[in-house]
Amino acid sequence: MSRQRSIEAISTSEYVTIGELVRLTGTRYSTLKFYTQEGFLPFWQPDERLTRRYLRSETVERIAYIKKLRQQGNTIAQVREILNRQQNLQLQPEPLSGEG
Amino acid sequence: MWNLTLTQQYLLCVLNQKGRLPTLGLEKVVGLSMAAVLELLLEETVVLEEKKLSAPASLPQEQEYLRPVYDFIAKKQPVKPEKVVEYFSLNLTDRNFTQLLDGVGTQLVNKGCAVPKQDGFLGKKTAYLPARQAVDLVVEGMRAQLLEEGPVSRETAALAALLDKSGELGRFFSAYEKKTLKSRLKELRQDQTNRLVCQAMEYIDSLMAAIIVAVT
Repeated sequence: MSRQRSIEAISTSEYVTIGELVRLTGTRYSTLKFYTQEGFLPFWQPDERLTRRYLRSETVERIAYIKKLRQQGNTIAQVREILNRQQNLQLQPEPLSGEG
Repeated sequence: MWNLTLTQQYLLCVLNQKGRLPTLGLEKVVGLSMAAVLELLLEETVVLEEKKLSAPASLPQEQEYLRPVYDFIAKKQPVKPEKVVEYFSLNLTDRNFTQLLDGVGTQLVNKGCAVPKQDGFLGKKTAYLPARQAVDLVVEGMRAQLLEEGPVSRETAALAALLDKSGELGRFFSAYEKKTLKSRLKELRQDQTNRLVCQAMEYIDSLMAAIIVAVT
Protein backbone atom coordinates (compact mmCIF):
# COMPACT_ATOMS: atom_id res chain seq x y z
CA MET A 1 0.00 0.00 0.00
CA SER A 2 1.50 3.35 -1.02
CA ARG A 3 1.49 6.50 1.10
CA GLN A 4 -1.20 9.10 0.50
CA ARG A 5 0.16 11.97 -1.63
CA SER A 6 -0.12 15.52 -0.36
CA ILE A 7 -2.79 17.74 -1.91
CA GLU A 8 0.03 19.91 -3.37
CA ALA A 9 1.52 16.89 -5.10
CA ILE A 10 -1.89 15.82 -6.42
CA SER A 11 -2.70 19.32 -7.67
CA THR A 12 0.35 19.38 -9.92
CA SER A 13 0.34 15.75 -10.99
CA GLU A 14 -0.56 14.86 -14.60
CA TYR A 15 -2.40 11.67 -13.61
CA VAL A 16 -4.46 11.05 -10.47
CA THR A 17 -6.33 8.12 -8.92
CA ILE A 18 -10.06 8.01 -8.19
CA GLY A 19 -9.35 8.57 -4.47
CA GLU A 20 -7.36 11.67 -5.33
CA LEU A 21 -10.21 12.91 -7.51
CA VAL A 22 -12.46 12.63 -4.46
CA ARG A 23 -10.10 14.98 -2.61
CA LEU A 24 -9.77 17.38 -5.54
CA THR A 25 -13.46 17.66 -6.38
CA GLY A 26 -15.26 16.80 -3.14
CA THR A 27 -17.38 14.28 -5.03
CA ARG A 28 -18.27 10.94 -3.46
CA TYR A 29 -16.10 7.95 -4.35
CA SER A 30 -19.17 5.91 -5.29
CA THR A 31 -20.36 8.70 -7.60
CA LEU A 32 -16.99 8.87 -9.39
CA LYS A 33 -16.96 5.08 -9.70
CA PHE A 34 -20.45 5.21 -11.18
CA TYR A 35 -19.45 7.96 -13.64
CA THR A 36 -16.42 5.87 -14.65
CA GLN A 37 -18.51 2.76 -15.22
CA GLU A 38 -21.00 4.77 -17.22
CA GLY A 39 -18.12 5.94 -19.42
CA PHE A 40 -18.37 9.61 -18.35
CA LEU A 41 -14.74 9.74 -17.13
CA PRO A 42 -12.06 8.33 -19.43
CA PHE A 43 -9.13 6.68 -17.67
CA TRP A 44 -5.85 4.95 -18.44
CA GLN A 45 -5.18 1.46 -17.08
CA PRO A 46 -2.29 -0.51 -18.60
CA ASP A 47 -3.39 -3.72 -16.85
CA GLU A 48 -6.66 -4.76 -15.20
CA ARG A 49 -4.83 -5.38 -11.92
CA LEU A 50 -3.37 -1.89 -11.86
CA THR A 51 -4.97 1.29 -10.53
CA ARG A 52 -6.95 3.39 -12.97
CA ARG A 53 -5.31 6.74 -13.73
CA TYR A 54 -7.22 9.81 -14.80
CA LEU A 55 -5.80 12.88 -16.54
CA ARG A 56 -6.11 15.38 -13.70
CA SER A 57 -7.08 18.68 -15.30
CA GLU A 58 -9.40 17.20 -17.98
CA THR A 59 -11.14 14.93 -15.47
CA VAL A 60 -11.58 17.65 -12.85
CA GLU A 61 -13.07 19.89 -15.54
CA ARG A 62 -15.35 17.11 -16.72
CA ILE A 63 -16.59 16.39 -13.20
CA ALA A 64 -17.33 20.11 -12.72
CA TYR A 65 -19.18 20.08 -16.05
CA ILE A 66 -21.26 17.03 -15.05
CA LYS A 67 -22.07 18.70 -11.70
CA LYS A 68 -23.18 21.82 -13.57
CA LEU A 69 -25.39 19.77 -15.89
CA ARG A 70 -26.96 18.05 -12.88
CA GLN A 71 -27.54 21.39 -11.11
CA GLN A 72 -29.23 22.64 -14.27
CA GLY A 73 -31.77 19.87 -13.84
CA ASN A 74 -30.46 17.11 -16.09
CA THR A 75 -30.97 13.50 -15.05
CA ILE A 76 -28.14 10.97 -15.41
CA ALA A 77 -29.71 9.71 -18.64
CA GLN A 78 -29.78 13.26 -20.03
CA VAL A 79 -26.15 13.84 -18.96
CA ARG A 80 -25.23 10.62 -20.82
CA GLU A 81 -27.00 11.89 -23.95
CA ILE A 82 -25.26 15.28 -23.79
CA LEU A 83 -21.81 13.73 -23.31
CA ASN A 84 -22.42 11.19 -26.10
CA ARG A 85 -23.58 13.94 -28.44
CA GLN A 86 -20.45 15.95 -27.71
CA GLN A 87 -18.25 12.90 -28.23
CA ASN A 88 -19.96 12.10 -31.54
CA LEU A 89 -19.42 15.68 -32.70
CA GLN A 90 -15.73 15.40 -31.86
CA LEU A 91 -15.49 12.07 -33.70
CA GLN A 92 -17.17 13.37 -36.84
CA PRO A 93 -14.66 13.49 -39.70
CA GLU A 94 -13.59 16.90 -40.91
CA PRO A 95 -15.38 17.79 -44.17
CA LEU A 96 -13.14 17.25 -47.18
CA SER A 97 -11.70 20.42 -48.68
CA GLY A 98 -13.66 21.62 -51.69
CA GLU A 99 -16.90 20.20 -50.25
CA GLY A 100 -19.94 22.16 -49.49
CA MET B 1 -22.60 -1.51 -19.59
CA TRP B 2 -25.81 -3.08 -18.28
CA ASN B 3 -29.01 -1.30 -19.02
CA LEU B 4 -31.38 -2.57 -16.38
CA THR B 5 -35.03 -1.79 -15.84
CA LEU B 6 -36.67 -1.02 -12.49
CA THR B 7 -37.80 -4.63 -11.88
CA GLN B 8 -34.42 -6.05 -12.87
CA GLN B 9 -32.58 -3.58 -10.61
CA TYR B 10 -34.90 -4.33 -7.72
CA LEU B 11 -34.48 -8.11 -8.02
CA LEU B 12 -30.71 -7.76 -8.27
CA CYS B 13 -30.67 -5.76 -5.02
CA VAL B 14 -32.88 -8.09 -3.00
CA LEU B 15 -31.42 -11.46 -4.01
CA ASN B 16 -29.24 -12.95 -1.30
CA GLN B 17 -25.85 -14.56 -1.87
CA LYS B 18 -27.53 -17.88 -2.62
CA GLY B 19 -29.49 -16.24 -5.40
CA ARG B 20 -32.84 -16.50 -3.64
CA LEU B 21 -35.26 -14.22 -1.90
CA PRO B 22 -35.11 -14.86 1.85
CA THR B 23 -37.73 -17.38 3.04
CA LEU B 24 -39.24 -14.91 5.48
CA GLY B 25 -38.97 -11.97 3.12
CA LEU B 26 -42.59 -11.30 2.22
CA GLU B 27 -41.80 -7.59 1.73
CA LYS B 28 -39.37 -8.53 -1.01
CA VAL B 29 -41.87 -10.81 -2.73
CA VAL B 30 -44.47 -8.03 -2.59
CA GLY B 31 -41.79 -5.55 -3.65
CA LEU B 32 -40.97 -7.49 -6.83
CA SER B 33 -44.63 -7.64 -7.87
CA MET B 34 -44.95 -3.92 -7.14
CA ALA B 35 -41.81 -3.17 -9.13
CA ALA B 36 -43.32 -5.02 -12.11
CA VAL B 37 -46.58 -3.03 -11.88
CA LEU B 38 -44.67 0.25 -11.49
CA GLU B 39 -42.43 -0.50 -14.45
CA LEU B 40 -45.45 -1.16 -16.67
CA LEU B 41 -46.96 2.11 -15.39
CA LEU B 42 -43.80 4.18 -15.86
CA GLU B 43 -43.40 2.87 -19.41
CA GLU B 44 -47.09 3.60 -20.02
CA THR B 45 -47.80 0.02 -21.05
CA VAL B 46 -50.60 0.05 -18.48
CA VAL B 47 -52.47 3.06 -17.14
CA LEU B 48 -53.93 3.92 -13.76
CA GLU B 49 -57.33 5.58 -13.85
CA GLU B 50 -59.61 6.01 -10.88
CA LYS B 51 -57.30 3.79 -8.84
CA LYS B 52 -57.61 0.91 -11.27
CA LEU B 53 -55.19 -0.49 -13.80
CA SER B 54 -55.96 -1.23 -17.41
CA ALA B 55 -53.85 -2.24 -20.39
CA PRO B 56 -54.80 -0.19 -23.45
CA ALA B 57 -51.53 -0.84 -25.30
CA SER B 58 -49.96 -4.12 -26.30
CA LEU B 59 -46.91 -5.35 -24.42
CA PRO B 60 -43.70 -4.17 -26.10
CA GLN B 61 -41.09 -6.81 -26.96
CA GLU B 62 -38.57 -5.39 -24.48
CA GLN B 63 -41.04 -5.90 -21.61
CA GLU B 64 -41.89 -9.50 -22.58
CA TYR B 65 -40.46 -10.74 -19.25
CA LEU B 66 -43.36 -8.94 -17.53
CA ARG B 67 -45.88 -10.90 -19.62
CA PRO B 68 -47.50 -12.70 -16.61
CA VAL B 69 -48.28 -9.36 -14.90
CA TYR B 70 -49.40 -7.69 -18.11
CA ASP B 71 -51.66 -10.63 -19.05
CA PHE B 72 -53.28 -10.62 -15.61
CA ILE B 73 -54.03 -6.88 -15.87
CA ALA B 74 -55.28 -7.25 -19.45
CA LYS B 75 -57.57 -10.13 -18.45
CA LYS B 76 -59.01 -8.55 -15.31
CA GLN B 77 -59.03 -4.89 -16.36
CA PRO B 78 -59.96 -2.55 -14.80
CA VAL B 79 -58.26 -4.05 -11.75
CA LYS B 80 -56.94 -2.56 -8.52
CA PRO B 81 -53.13 -2.61 -8.18
CA GLU B 82 -53.58 -4.40 -4.84
CA LYS B 83 -55.26 -7.31 -6.63
CA VAL B 84 -52.36 -7.67 -9.04
CA VAL B 85 -49.78 -7.61 -6.27
CA GLU B 86 -51.88 -10.02 -4.24
CA TYR B 87 -52.18 -12.47 -7.17
CA PHE B 88 -48.42 -12.63 -7.57
CA SER B 89 -47.32 -12.46 -3.95
CA LEU B 90 -49.98 -13.85 -1.66
CA ASN B 91 -51.15 -17.06 -3.18
CA LEU B 92 -51.46 -20.53 -1.70
CA THR B 93 -48.82 -21.74 -4.13
CA ASP B 94 -45.85 -19.74 -5.32
CA ARG B 95 -46.54 -20.65 -8.97
CA ASN B 96 -47.50 -17.12 -10.07
CA PHE B 97 -44.63 -15.52 -8.26
CA THR B 98 -42.13 -18.09 -9.60
CA GLN B 99 -43.31 -17.30 -13.11
CA LEU B 100 -42.59 -13.60 -12.56
CA LEU B 101 -39.29 -14.29 -10.77
CA ASP B 102 -38.05 -16.59 -13.54
CA GLY B 103 -38.98 -14.04 -16.22
CA VAL B 104 -37.01 -11.26 -14.53
CA GLY B 105 -34.21 -13.63 -13.43
CA THR B 106 -33.72 -14.92 -16.98
CA GLN B 107 -33.34 -11.34 -18.18
CA LEU B 108 -30.63 -10.79 -15.57
CA VAL B 109 -28.86 -13.94 -16.79
CA ASN B 110 -29.15 -12.85 -20.45
CA LYS B 111 -27.64 -9.48 -19.58
CA GLY B 112 -24.75 -11.10 -17.70
CA CYS B 113 -25.85 -9.75 -14.31
CA ALA B 114 -26.64 -13.11 -12.70
CA VAL B 115 -25.76 -16.79 -13.02
CA PRO B 116 -28.54 -19.42 -12.89
CA LYS B 117 -28.23 -22.34 -10.50
CA GLN B 118 -30.49 -25.34 -9.87
CA ASP B 119 -32.18 -24.93 -6.53
CA GLY B 120 -34.99 -26.17 -4.32
CA PHE B 121 -36.33 -29.65 -3.63
CA LEU B 122 -35.12 -32.00 -6.43
CA GLY B 123 -33.54 -29.01 -8.12
CA LYS B 124 -36.79 -27.98 -9.76
CA LYS B 125 -36.33 -24.28 -9.07
CA THR B 126 -33.77 -21.82 -10.32
CA ALA B 127 -31.70 -19.52 -8.15
CA TYR B 128 -30.08 -16.45 -9.69
CA LEU B 129 -26.68 -15.66 -8.26
CA PRO B 130 -26.24 -11.90 -8.59
CA ALA B 131 -23.02 -10.51 -10.10
CA ARG B 132 -21.39 -8.29 -7.52
CA GLN B 133 -20.32 -5.72 -10.12
CA ALA B 134 -23.87 -5.34 -11.40
CA VAL B 135 -25.27 -4.84 -7.89
CA ASP B 136 -22.53 -2.27 -7.21
CA LEU B 137 -23.42 -0.35 -10.34
CA VAL B 138 -27.12 -0.19 -9.39
CA VAL B 139 -26.28 0.99 -5.87
CA GLU B 140 -23.69 3.52 -7.08
CA GLY B 141 -26.24 4.83 -9.57
CA MET B 142 -28.71 5.35 -6.73
CA ARG B 143 -26.06 7.08 -4.62
CA ALA B 144 -24.98 9.32 -7.51
CA GLN B 145 -28.53 10.53 -7.92
CA LEU B 146 -29.92 10.57 -4.41
CA LEU B 147 -26.93 11.75 -2.40
CA GLU B 148 -25.64 14.34 -4.88
CA GLU B 149 -27.28 17.50 -6.12
CA GLY B 150 -29.51 17.22 -9.17
CA PRO B 151 -32.75 15.62 -10.26
CA VAL B 152 -33.64 12.00 -9.62
CA SER B 153 -35.11 9.82 -12.34
CA ARG B 154 -38.54 8.29 -11.78
CA GLU B 155 -37.06 4.77 -11.86
CA THR B 156 -34.42 5.60 -9.23
CA ALA B 157 -36.97 7.25 -6.94
CA ALA B 158 -39.25 4.22 -7.27
CA LEU B 159 -36.34 1.81 -6.72
CA ALA B 160 -35.20 3.62 -3.57
CA ALA B 161 -38.75 3.75 -2.20
CA LEU B 162 -39.25 0.03 -2.90
CA LEU B 163 -35.95 -0.90 -1.26
CA ASP B 164 -36.84 1.31 1.69
CA LYS B 165 -40.17 -0.44 2.18
CA SER B 166 -38.52 -3.84 1.77
CA GLY B 167 -36.08 -2.98 4.55
CA GLU B 168 -33.11 -3.31 2.19
CA LEU B 169 -31.68 0.22 2.25
CA GLY B 170 -29.55 -0.61 5.30
CA ARG B 171 -27.61 -3.13 3.23
CA PHE B 172 -26.34 -0.48 0.86
CA PHE B 173 -26.32 2.81 2.79
CA SER B 174 -24.75 3.80 6.09
CA ALA B 175 -26.96 5.11 8.90
CA TYR B 176 -25.71 8.64 8.14
CA GLU B 177 -26.46 8.30 4.42
CA LYS B 178 -29.86 6.81 5.14
CA LYS B 179 -30.87 10.02 6.92
CA THR B 180 -29.97 12.10 3.84
CA LEU B 181 -31.63 9.57 1.60
CA LYS B 182 -34.86 9.51 3.58
CA SER B 183 -35.13 13.28 3.59
CA ARG B 184 -34.47 13.27 -0.17
CA LEU B 185 -37.24 10.70 -0.66
CA LYS B 186 -39.54 12.88 1.45
CA GLU B 187 -38.73 15.88 -0.77
CA LEU B 188 -39.48 13.81 -3.88
CA ARG B 189 -42.79 12.71 -2.38
CA GLN B 190 -43.78 16.37 -1.97
CA ASP B 191 -42.53 17.50 -5.37
CA GLN B 192 -45.74 17.86 -7.33
CA THR B 193 -43.88 18.67 -10.56
CA ASN B 194 -43.19 14.98 -10.96
CA ARG B 195 -46.69 13.67 -10.43
CA LEU B 196 -46.03 10.09 -11.48
CA VAL B 197 -43.13 9.66 -9.04
CA CYS B 198 -45.27 11.05 -6.19
CA GLN B 199 -48.10 8.78 -7.21
CA ALA B 200 -45.78 5.79 -7.48
CA MET B 201 -44.35 6.46 -4.03
CA GLU B 202 -47.78 6.92 -2.49
CA TYR B 203 -48.79 3.61 -4.03
CA ILE B 204 -45.73 1.86 -2.66
CA ASP B 205 -46.64 3.15 0.82
CA SER B 206 -50.30 2.26 0.73
CA LEU B 207 -49.90 -1.09 -1.05
CA MET B 208 -47.15 -2.25 1.24
CA ALA B 209 -49.13 -1.24 4.32
CA ALA B 210 -52.35 -2.88 3.06
CA ILE B 211 -50.62 -6.09 2.13
CA ILE B 212 -48.63 -6.42 5.32
CA VAL B 213 -51.84 -5.86 7.33
CA ALA B 214 -53.65 -8.45 5.20
CA VAL B 215 -51.19 -11.22 6.01
CA THR B 216 -50.61 -10.47 9.68
